[in-house]
This record gives sequence, structure tokens and C-alpha cells, in this order.
Amino acid sequence: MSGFDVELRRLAEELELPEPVRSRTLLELRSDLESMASALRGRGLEEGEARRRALTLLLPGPEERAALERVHRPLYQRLVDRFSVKGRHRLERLALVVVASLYLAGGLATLSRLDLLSSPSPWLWPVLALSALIVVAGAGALFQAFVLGARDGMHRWRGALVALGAATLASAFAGAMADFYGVASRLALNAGRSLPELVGWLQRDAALLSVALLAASAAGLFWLATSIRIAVAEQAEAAALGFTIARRDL
Amino acid sequence: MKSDDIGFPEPADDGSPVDIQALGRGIHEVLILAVLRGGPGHGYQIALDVEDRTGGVFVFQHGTLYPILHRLEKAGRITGSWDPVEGRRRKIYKLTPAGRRHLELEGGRIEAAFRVLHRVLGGET
Repeated sequence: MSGFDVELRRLAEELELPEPVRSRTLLELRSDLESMASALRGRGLEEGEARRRALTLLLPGPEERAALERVHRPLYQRLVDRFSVKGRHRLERLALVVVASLYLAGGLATLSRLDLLSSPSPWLWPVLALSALIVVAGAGALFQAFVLGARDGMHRWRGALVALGAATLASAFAGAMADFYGVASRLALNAGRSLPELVGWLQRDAALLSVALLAASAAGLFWLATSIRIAVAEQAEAAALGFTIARRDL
Repeated sequence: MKSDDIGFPEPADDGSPVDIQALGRGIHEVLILAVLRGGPGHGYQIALDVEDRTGGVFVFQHGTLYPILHRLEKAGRITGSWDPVEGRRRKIYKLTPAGRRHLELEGGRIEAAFRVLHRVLGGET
């Protein structure tokens, strides 16, 4: 704990800088405030006066916070400044649609090349759609984490990744089970066709489960990358605000 | 006088008007660079040194120091690194060769602008 915890936590709530700049700025300010107060005490100022003077000199006011935000405005935001907020959101949605379309086109081409679309499981389509949403959520999470450095956005997209990964796996396993019962009931009526039915089921649902597992793995990797980014930012901020001492290199 | 990428005033030798706000920012930048010419320093040391060396005429208040330091760092005129001191990490700034060139160039330009101002205030023609 230092004598500046209250002021620094208030500043942390108001400072809208991208991560990791935000945490680093808080840490820089904390060490400077403490060192400044110590230097002023060394010059003969009494404790309270040294603290007040250090805060007056170093703690950024509203204009200085705005100036810092301008200095550290992410390149992407500077590039899209010419668009209105509505226009920017439309542009971002369009980019996500393009990402999803490219993924679906690539995925379908691959499945087709592997001859897995000749008699696909009907469950493949919702699973493919969910996997496309995972790619969109992953792109959104990485964009928030590594381009905007916006922690709220990272949390939002990370939550979506967990939900979509779980939904994809659940759909695929439910589909595989439903397909299996379908095959079993057909075999009960016509046991003579057991081999082609079973082979067809294996092919259809192997493709279904493969797509789902790949998509869930991708969701896991996106989640991990975003979580690491969030953890690094939170650890750095905690160190800057005096909750703990940073042990890693900034 | 026009401004460069960080809003610093260009020389007035073309007769164009001085951007007063850019001149103000430029003075603060030059003061920081001049302090760092004497050796690397932490933010609080730079603030105290500027105040001491200018006899309290120039004081960084309300955190005005940080946007300027970060802007200079982004422009490559100073570099910031993290220095472990007594178990804590403190950011220390160092002047770069580009910063040294900028200081020489812009310091001269500010001097020229102030000579003009002095001439006007002194009533010279």
C-alpha cells in the first residue's frame, strides 16, 4: 500500500487507454508519485505537504487524461475516425460477415474435396454455422485484445466463445446420437443392409464430430489467447494499484 | 509557422504566423529533452529538474508531463525502459540521437521565436 492508492484507483476508473498502455501508465504514475513524495520529503517538506504537491504535479487531470488518450489512440481508431460511430459499426459487422463467409467457403470446399458432402448428416449444417460463429467470435476477441486493447470487449467475446464452443459440441454429439438411433431403427427393419448403413453413419458422423471438435478446439485457443491477454492486463493493473507486486517483465 | 507531426512549431523565417499552442507544447518538449541531455531520468526527476533549472518558471502541473513524455517516446525522441529499483519497477527515459537532433533544431527555432517576441516587447522595429 502507498499513500496514493485512493487517487490511483479513481484514476484507473477514468483512464480510457488501451491495454497494456493503461496498466503501464498507472504503474509509471504510481512509482513517480511515491518517488516524488520521497524526494520532496528529502527537501524538507512534511509528509502531507509532500504528498499533496506530488499529486498536484503528477496526477493527470481531465485535460491531461484526454491528451494521453489522444497519444495512445490505436491506429485502427485513427484510421476509422473519418466514419461516424454508426458507419464504423457497420464496417466492423461487414468485416465479420466477410470473415465468416471466407471460413464457410473454405470449410465447404475442404469437406467437398474430402467427399464428405455427398450424403452429409443433417446436423452438419447447424454445426458448420456454429463453427462459423466461433470464427467470428474469435476474430472479435482477438481484435479487442490485440488491436483495440479494450478489456470489456475482450470479456464479452470470450464469454461468447465459451457458449459457442459448448453449443457446437453439444449439437454435434446430439446429432451423432440422433443419427445413430436413426440407423439402428432402419437396421431393425432391414438387417440385411447393416454394413452400408453403418459405414454411411460412420462417414457422416465422423465428419460431423471432426468439424465440431476442430471448431471447439479453435474456440479454446481463441479463449486461451484472450484470457492470457486479460490476465496480463489485470496483473499489471493490480501491481500498479498496489494489490500485489509485479513479478514479470512489463 | 506550421506544425510538424507532433505539433512542434516550424521556423518563422517564411513569415507565416506562429502557432502559439504548438509553441507552448514545443517549449515543454524542449525542456524535457534538455533535462535528459544530462542523463537518463524518471518522470518525477524530469519534472523536478525542469522546475529547478527554470527557477519555477516552468512547472509541469496536473500530470501535463505524461502526455508529452509518451508523445516524445512514440516519436522516437526518447526511449522508456523499466528499471527495477528496490523491488519496484520504475520507468526511466533516455534521450535518443533523434531526440538530440530535435533538441538542437527546435531549441534554435524557439530561441528565434523568443528573440522576435523580445524585440516586439522591447519596442524595437
